[in-house]
Amino acid sequence: MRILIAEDDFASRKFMQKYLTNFGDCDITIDGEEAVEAFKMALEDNEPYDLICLDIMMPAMDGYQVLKVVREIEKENNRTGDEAVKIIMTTALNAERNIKAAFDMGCTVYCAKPIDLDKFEEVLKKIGITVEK
Amino acid sequence: MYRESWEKDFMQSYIGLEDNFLLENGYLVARLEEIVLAAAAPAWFSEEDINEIFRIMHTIKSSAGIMMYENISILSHKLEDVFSYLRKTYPDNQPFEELAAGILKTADFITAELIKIQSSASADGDSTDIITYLGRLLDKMNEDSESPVPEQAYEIPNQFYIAPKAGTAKKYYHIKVFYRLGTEMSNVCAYSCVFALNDITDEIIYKPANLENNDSAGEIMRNGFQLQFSTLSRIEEIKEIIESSSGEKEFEILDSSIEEYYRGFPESGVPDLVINLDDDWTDPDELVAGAYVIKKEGGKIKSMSGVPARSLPKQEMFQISFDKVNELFALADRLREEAGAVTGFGAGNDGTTNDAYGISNALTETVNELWRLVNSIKKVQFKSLFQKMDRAVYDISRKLGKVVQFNPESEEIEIGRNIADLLTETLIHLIRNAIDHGIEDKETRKAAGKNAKGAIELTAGVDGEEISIVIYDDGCGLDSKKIFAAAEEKGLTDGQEIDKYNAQDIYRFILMPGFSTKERVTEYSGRGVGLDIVVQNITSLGGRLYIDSQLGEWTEISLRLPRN
Repeated sequence: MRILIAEDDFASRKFMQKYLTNFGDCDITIDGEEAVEAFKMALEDNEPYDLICLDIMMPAMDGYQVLKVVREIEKENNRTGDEAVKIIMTTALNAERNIKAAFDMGCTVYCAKPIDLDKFEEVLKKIGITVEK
Repeated sequence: MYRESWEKDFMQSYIGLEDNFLLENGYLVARLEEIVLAAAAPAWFSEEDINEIFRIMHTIKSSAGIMMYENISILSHKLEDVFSYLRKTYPDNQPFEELAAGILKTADFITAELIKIQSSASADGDSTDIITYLGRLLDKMNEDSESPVPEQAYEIPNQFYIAPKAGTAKKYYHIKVFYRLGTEMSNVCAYSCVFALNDITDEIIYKPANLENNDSAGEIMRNGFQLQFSTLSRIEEIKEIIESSSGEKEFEILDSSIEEYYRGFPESGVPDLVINLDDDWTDPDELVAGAYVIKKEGGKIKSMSGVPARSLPKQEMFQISFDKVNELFALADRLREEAGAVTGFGAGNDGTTNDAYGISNALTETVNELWRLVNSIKKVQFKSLFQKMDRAVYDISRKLGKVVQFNPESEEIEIGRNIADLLTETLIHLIRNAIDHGIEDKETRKAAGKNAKGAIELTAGVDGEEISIVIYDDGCGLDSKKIFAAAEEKGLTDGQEIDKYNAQDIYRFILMPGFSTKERVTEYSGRGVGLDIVVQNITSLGGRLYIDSQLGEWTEISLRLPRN
């Protein structure tokens, strides 16, 4: 399982990394631009990510921009349906408009902060991210 | 510190997805019940009903799926499936009672789960029994049908939403710091405050923002220094940190919200509030925008917070018509303009004096209108309580095997939201009594030459300063001899003979605690819970209750409640 975490806040980043390491190899970026770069590189190397965790409020490129670009690149490369990477947006923004916008742009899970870990675990199961043996 | 413009745009719609889920589904479930009750008389779901129920269940299924309330989602799917079948086949032999029962079970289940979510309990209800019930119903309809429709499997949604974990949320604060008169380089003091707070928060916004510039010192001394941030730390810790930063100061910690945080500080030049309770503002010339002071009690820190992180239950919500919101907005807008006129009073740009009398009149008028409107928002139409009563009649009459026609009618009467529940409960109690004790079973009614269908009428109207509510049933009426005998036996009659009492007085015995002439105890109107509770409720609402009856023909209970 290959996982990319894009998060500018140190504490959140550390937490996500620690938590998601159980599920696979985690790469970390601290802004949106870098996240897009990492995504492209992984695709070119033919080792695409299975999961991207995106913060929304990030410098350089925000989570929405990253989400949009990632889905566009996938479309160009015909990676849709089950082949498309699962994207979880993690954010303190919890207004309906934010959530609708994220869903419209193709995010898989919208997870408001502070993260409800029970539900987070449940959702990972539902979207097919399971603990590596 | 970056703040993209879209964030502000998005933040303009503040209601969270979970709140919206509760509100919308609460409405849809009420609508389900309404459809069933309206269809009960013909005992038939029209094509329109079927389509609407299908759509409602589809909507609930999708939103509950996204919110990961699987028990609600799967149940909704099942009912959707049943109605998908009906939509496709529209059979002539529609099993109305079974369908109605299935819908009401589903609606009740979802309502119970929504209440749990609302109060932050886990929505852990088990819907398998209802799903099984609906599955059997669907199978049976399919068996009876010449063109069976295959069952649709539940599909796991492909998008999910996780609501923020309750109770642990960061709290938002808005802090105002005032440095002691004569403080030098207050901008540096302010910076030390920001620096110290950095440890407990991810991001702080403050005003004035240009602290490295010494010019900001003047502004800080004039208007104070303001900060906004969110933190998991407790208020005592925040206080300690601010106190330990440089400079002699007083400060105020105000509760804030994510919305306020993203809104940032009010535009400069627009005072957010003028609060000065100590000074007498007799000289209007002093009242210039920006010259406001936020006074604190002598040296004491006035904290409006201090409560540990707000834990749930969440706010109770209700729906409000768009018209009223628009009116409210228009009034708020007018108030703002008029408040502007007051603030600018005497300082007209064109040198003319403003008309103090006119401004004051307009302001009073607007405030009164606002009061009336807000007051009306706190009220509901009496008619809106009918659905709950309808539902009670539906359930009780079926349970007791009686056929009842319930006819509620009301003038336009507004009652307070706060008493609506108690009043509804009380009226349902009376209706329940009427069905159980008043209305006879079909055979008895036929033998007595009455319509097999019993009638219960509820009539409400305004009478002067009072609201009058009358509940009439064409049942067996009250037997004053039996009532008197029972009262005598219970020692309620002071040893007097029956002919010393008039009928009204005798009827009043049934209102006494513990009084009941009914031998049979049913689930709905047991012996113990009697009319005395009703009397208690009515009295607590400041009202009175009267009984009249004609043995074998009718009973009428009248309530008189004060309008306010």
